[in-house]
Amino acid sequence: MTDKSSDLVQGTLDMLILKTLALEPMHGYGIAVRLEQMSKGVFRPNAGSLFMAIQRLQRDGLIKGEWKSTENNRRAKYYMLTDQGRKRLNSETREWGRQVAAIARILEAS
Amino acid sequence: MSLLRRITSGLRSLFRNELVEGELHEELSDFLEMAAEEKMKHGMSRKDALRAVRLERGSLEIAKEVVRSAGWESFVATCWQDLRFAARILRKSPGFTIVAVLTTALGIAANVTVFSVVDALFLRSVPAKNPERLVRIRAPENDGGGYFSVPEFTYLREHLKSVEDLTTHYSTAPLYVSASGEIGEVQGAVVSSGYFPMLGLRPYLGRFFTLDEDSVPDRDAVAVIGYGFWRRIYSGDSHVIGKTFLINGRSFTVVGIMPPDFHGVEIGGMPNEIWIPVMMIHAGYRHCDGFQPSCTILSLMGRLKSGISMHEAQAQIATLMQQLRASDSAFDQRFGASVTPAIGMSENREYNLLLVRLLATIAGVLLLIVGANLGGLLVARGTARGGEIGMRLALGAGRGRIVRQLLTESLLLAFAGGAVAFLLSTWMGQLLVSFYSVDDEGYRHLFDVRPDATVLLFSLAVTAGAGGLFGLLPALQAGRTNLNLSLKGGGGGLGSSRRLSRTALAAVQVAFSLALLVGASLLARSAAFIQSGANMDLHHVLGLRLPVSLIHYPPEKAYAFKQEVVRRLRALPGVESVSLAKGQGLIWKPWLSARATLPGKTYTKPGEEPRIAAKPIAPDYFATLKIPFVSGRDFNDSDKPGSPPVTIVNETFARQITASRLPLGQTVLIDDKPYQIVGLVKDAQLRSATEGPLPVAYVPFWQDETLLEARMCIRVAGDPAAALPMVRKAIASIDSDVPVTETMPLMDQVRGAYTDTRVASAVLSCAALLALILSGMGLYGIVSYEVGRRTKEIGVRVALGAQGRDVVHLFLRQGFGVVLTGVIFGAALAFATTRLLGAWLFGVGSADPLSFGVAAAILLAVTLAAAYLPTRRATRVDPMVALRYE
Repeated sequence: MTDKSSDLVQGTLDMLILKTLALEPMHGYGIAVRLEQMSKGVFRPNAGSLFMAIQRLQRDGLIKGEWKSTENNRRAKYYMLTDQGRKRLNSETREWGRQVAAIARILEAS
Repeated sequence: MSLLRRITSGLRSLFRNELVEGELHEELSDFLEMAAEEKMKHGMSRKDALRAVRLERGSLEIAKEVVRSAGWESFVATCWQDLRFAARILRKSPGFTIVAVLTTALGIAANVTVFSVVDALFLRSVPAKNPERLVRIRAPENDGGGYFSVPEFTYLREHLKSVEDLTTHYSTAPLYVSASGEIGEVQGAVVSSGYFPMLGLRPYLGRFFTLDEDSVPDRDAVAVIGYGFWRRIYSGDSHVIGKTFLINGRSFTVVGIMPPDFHGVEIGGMPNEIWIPVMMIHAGYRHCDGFQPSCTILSLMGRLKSGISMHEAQAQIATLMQQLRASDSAFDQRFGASVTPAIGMSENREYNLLLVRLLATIAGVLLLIVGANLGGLLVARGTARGGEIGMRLALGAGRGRIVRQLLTESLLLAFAGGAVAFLLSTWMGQLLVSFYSVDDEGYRHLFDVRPDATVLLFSLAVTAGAGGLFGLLPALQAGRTNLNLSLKGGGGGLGSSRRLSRTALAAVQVAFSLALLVGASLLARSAAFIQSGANMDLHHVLGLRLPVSLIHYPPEKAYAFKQEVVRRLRALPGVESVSLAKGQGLIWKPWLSARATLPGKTYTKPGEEPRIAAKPIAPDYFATLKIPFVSGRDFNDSDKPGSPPVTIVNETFARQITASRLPLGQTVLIDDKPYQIVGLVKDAQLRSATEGPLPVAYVPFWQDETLLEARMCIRVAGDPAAALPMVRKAIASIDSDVPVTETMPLMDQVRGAYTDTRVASAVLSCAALLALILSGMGLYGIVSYEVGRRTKEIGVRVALGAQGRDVVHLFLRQGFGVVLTGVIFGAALAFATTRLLGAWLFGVGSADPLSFGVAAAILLAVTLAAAYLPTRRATRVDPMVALRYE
């Protein structure tokens, strides 16, 4: 069993899910596909880690879920960002940028 | 907000499990289905697509498990699961469970009981509505226990600014009361009017004292009576307000009734039933004039003003006391003051702490033994369950989960034991304080050991601690189970490390048991020594007290009265001899009240002169108490006022003061007055191993006409308690107004005075007995297990010609090794710790070889017998059966 998402830095999966949902509400599989597309196949989270992260985000009140019918008339739970989630995404993106820049500076210096 | 959502979401999963599970199942299976469909679009068969998805994304069940385990509720759910499983496992072996729960209960109950006593005596504040900032004030560096006099109190009340509601009380006033035709002694308190508001009390009926009643000495003879006294004496008659009754011969008017639950401010003290104003102190105290500046008998309490520290209040009181002394030298010199929170008992604190510490140590050791025992049992069960645990590990259970499961089991056991223990301890607490409900002068004391929230909290903590203590080692060991070996069967898996820990645990039990047994036998010998006494015999002797000063007898009348009492009592049928003595506790509490020296010897510093006990006694004292004479004569009728002063000394006096073994005829100075020694008696005291005997000089009671108070001792042929009515009648026929108090057979007095040794002995004996049984059980378990494990080996040995005796020896040797290790460590432990018992040891030293020997012999006999029992099973092994085994 390969778990590509475990290669992710701890906690970044949450941020990536928030980013995916910033565009439009999505169901679980949609999130997975979008992550894969956007990362050009680098991140391919397995079901366990993905839904664990979704549950965590729900409990923190950053996203909320709603049962809706899909384009091919199946029932699925769609997730969307809350206001709080949007704020968190912004702050985390900023923080992430800051850290990446700092790390890059260190690596270039050596 | 987020925390709340997390909790509600978790609760939803816990209690609406099916719905949540259903949703999760649907979402996950949709996810996998969609992924599979994607693959099928690229031409895969459905079967291959599903397989590929499982490989890439994980299987449905594992994903579910991952998501479930993320929330806190999964922890609760697995705990609940573990708990139900543990209960099922324990139900399957009821024998083990009952023994385990009961031993845990006893171990925990001992600790909770001791703690409830600690709580009742040291942690609760005085019974006030709002006890915050209430303080006790003492002047500790003075003689006489740091009390204050009435003038000192009134001065402080006027000038002390840092304390509000400054109040005084004298809570140990024995009042001789005549009310509603009933006559008897009642415990009273002399209090200032601020006492009631300070404690937030409201009268049940009537009123309390007014400030005006605090102002003029001997004017306002008013009294507040206790609820119990009111029900008992006045049958709860509500018209009692305004009625009068006699206290020590003076008429008092009832003005109010106390609320039912109030018994005074002394924790563990004598419950008060009557309260009189401080201005009526003449009626409540007789040994000095209560209004004199140096008659210091009052305790002070008050409430610290907010923003004032105890230290500041202390300094202010010290300054005020110095000013007072400077203005009038009749006041005692004061060297400071102490201000402490009004929490716990105020008298004998240090000594009682010592006793409580001893009891706590015993209880703690007992809990350790119980823990070691249960630990051993659980390790044994772990071995027996090796197969089960191996199977669960093989099926994928994490080792952490196994450890958690087993810990849950021990905690369940512990909490079952803890619940039983809590019930048990309320009863044991009552039993413990019932030893103290009557003191050595026959006065009742009140201890409220009903458990409160603090005690409940303590029990929970001890229970959890105990469960962790005995559960951790076995659980960790089970977590290390070697899969291959345990599944192969035979349970031989982790044999050696488990056997070692069981053996070590058994040896620890034996060691601690020996220490307890040694302590128990030392205290048992002490208790026996107190009963039999040394150089005296108090059986068949009745004691009583004639407080003639209570009814204001002048000295010459008191002298004649007491002589007449002795004469009449001597003539009574069944009375063998009668005598009297001054001072507390007829003989067993000598008090170093006098200085003694040889003539011509001078001391430069005032404190250097040896201190001795000088005890005025009447003739026949030694005959009545059966204290043997070494040589010389008893006092007689010619030792009267005006005759040359004489003294009878004990052997310690002779050794320490006169430095002579036979000092008859010598003269000694007692408080600078010359006395001729006319007799020498044996040391007759009950002094503990740490105290040692005291020098005593007996002086003739009748030579001193100023002595008022006396305690009588009357030796009778039969039961001293039965002779009491006859004695009372004889005294009443001389003067029926004289109170006859503190009437007790002297053996009861001794039992009361040495309650601590009896309690320590009883508690330690019970603990030692329990420890002995547990040690036996531990050893039985080990040998029994070994016999079972080595059945095949025994079969081979017997087949090769070994006799039954050889087989028994094989296993006994092992048991003996464990016991011997335990005994050696235990003896060292006992030797190092029994000196802590010194204060409660009488007639025996802390290293008494007999006690050590007896304890070791009992322990060896019991544990070896326990080890022998299972070996008999080994001798009955049939080699044919044994070799076919497995």
